[in-house]
Amino acid sequence: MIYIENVLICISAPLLIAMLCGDKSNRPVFAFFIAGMGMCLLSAYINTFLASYYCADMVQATVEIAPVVEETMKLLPVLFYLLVFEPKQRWARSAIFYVAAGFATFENACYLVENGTSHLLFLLMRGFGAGAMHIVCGAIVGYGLLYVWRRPWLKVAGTFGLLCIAITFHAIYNLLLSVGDAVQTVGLIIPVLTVLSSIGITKLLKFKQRK
Amino acid sequence: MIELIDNAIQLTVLIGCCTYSAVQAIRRNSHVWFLLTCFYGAYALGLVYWLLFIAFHSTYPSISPISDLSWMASVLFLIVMQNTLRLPGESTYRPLAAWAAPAFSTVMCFFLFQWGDYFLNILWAVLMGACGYQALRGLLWATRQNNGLRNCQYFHMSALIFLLAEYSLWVTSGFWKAENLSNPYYWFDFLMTALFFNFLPSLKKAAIE
Repeated sequence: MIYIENVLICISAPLLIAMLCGDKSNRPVFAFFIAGMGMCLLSAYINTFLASYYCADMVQATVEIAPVVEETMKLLPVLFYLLVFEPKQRWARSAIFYVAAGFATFENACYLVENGTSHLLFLLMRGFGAGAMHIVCGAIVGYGLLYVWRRPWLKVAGTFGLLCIAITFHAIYNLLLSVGDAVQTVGLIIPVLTVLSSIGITKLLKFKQRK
Repeated sequence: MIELIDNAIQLTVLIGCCTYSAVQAIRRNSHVWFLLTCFYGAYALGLVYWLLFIAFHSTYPSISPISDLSWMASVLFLIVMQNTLRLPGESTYRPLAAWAAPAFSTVMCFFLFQWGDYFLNILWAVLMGACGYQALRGLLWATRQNNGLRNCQYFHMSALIFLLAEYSLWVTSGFWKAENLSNPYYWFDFLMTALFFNFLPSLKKAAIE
C-alpha cells in the first residue's frame, strides 16, 4: 500500500512555494498543474470505491472504470475555469494542457513508487506514452471545448460528446496496456504517434493557409 | 468469430469514409465535412474499443458502456451537422409530423428497458429523438423548396435511415443471439456498414447548396 496523499504533498509543496514567489503571470500555470495532480489523487479514490462497489477485478477497473473517472475528473478544473473566469481562448487551451500534464506526472510518480525505477526503457516508454495519452485526451476536449463554448446551444451536448471521445481513447490505451507484451508496446506508442501526427497536420495546415 | 469479421469490415469502411471526408474537409476548408469526419471518427473509435475488448478478453464490457459513449458522441456530431445544414427559415418551421421521431424514440426506450441499462437507454432515446426530429423537420422543409435547396433532403433521408437501422440492430440483438449469419442482427449490421457510405454523396449534394 502506498500513501499517495503524501506523494502529492511532496511534489506540490515546492510548486506551491514557486507559485507564491514567482511572477504573478505564471501563477495559473502552477495552479493548473497542481490541480491536475489533485484530480489524479481524487480519481484514485473514486476508482477504488467504484471497483469495490462493482466487485471489479484489476483489468475491469483499469479498462472500464478508470477512463471514465479520470477523464471526467480532469475536465472539472477546466470547466470551472471556463465557467467562472471566462478566460481568453489562448489561456483556456493552455490550462487544459497543464491540467493534463499535472495528471500524467502524478500518475507516473505513483507508478514509480509502486513498481520501482529499475526498467529504464519501459519507464521511458511509459513516461512518454502516458504523458502523450493524457495530452491527446486534453487536446480532444480542449480544442473541442473552445469551439463549442462559442455556441451556447452546443455547450452541454458538445462537452459531453468530447468527453465521450476522450474516455474512449483513454480506454483503448488502457485496454492495450492491460494485455501486455507486444500489444502493450503498441498501446504505449499509439498516443506518441497521435501527438506527432497531429503536430504534423497542424503545421501542414498552417503552411497551406500561409500559401 | 462472425462478430469479429462483421465489426472488422465495418471498421474498415468507417476508416475509409473518415479518411475521404477528412481529405474533403482539408481540400474544401469545409466545416460540415469536418463534422462528418468527426462523426465517422467517433463511431470508429467506439468500434475499435469494442473489437479490441472482444479480441483480447473474449467477452463484452460489463461495467461501463465505453463504446456506447463514443457512439453517442457520433450521433451528437450528426445533430451538429444537421444544425449546420439548416436551410433559411427551417429553424422557425415546426411541423407536427416531425414529433413522430421523438415519440418513436420514447416508445422504443420503454421497449428496450427489458434488456439494457435504464440511464443509458434514456440517454440514447434523447439523442435519437433529437436527431430524428431534426432529420424529419429538415426533410419536410427541404421537400417544400423548389430549387437546389431541395437537395438537402437526401442528407436528412440518410440520417433517418441510419437511425432506423440502428434501432433495428438493437431490437434484433435482443431477440437473436446466434453467432452465425442466420441471425438478422448481422444483416442489419451489414446494412449499417453500407449506410455509412450514404452520407458521403448526400452531404456532397447538400454542401454544394
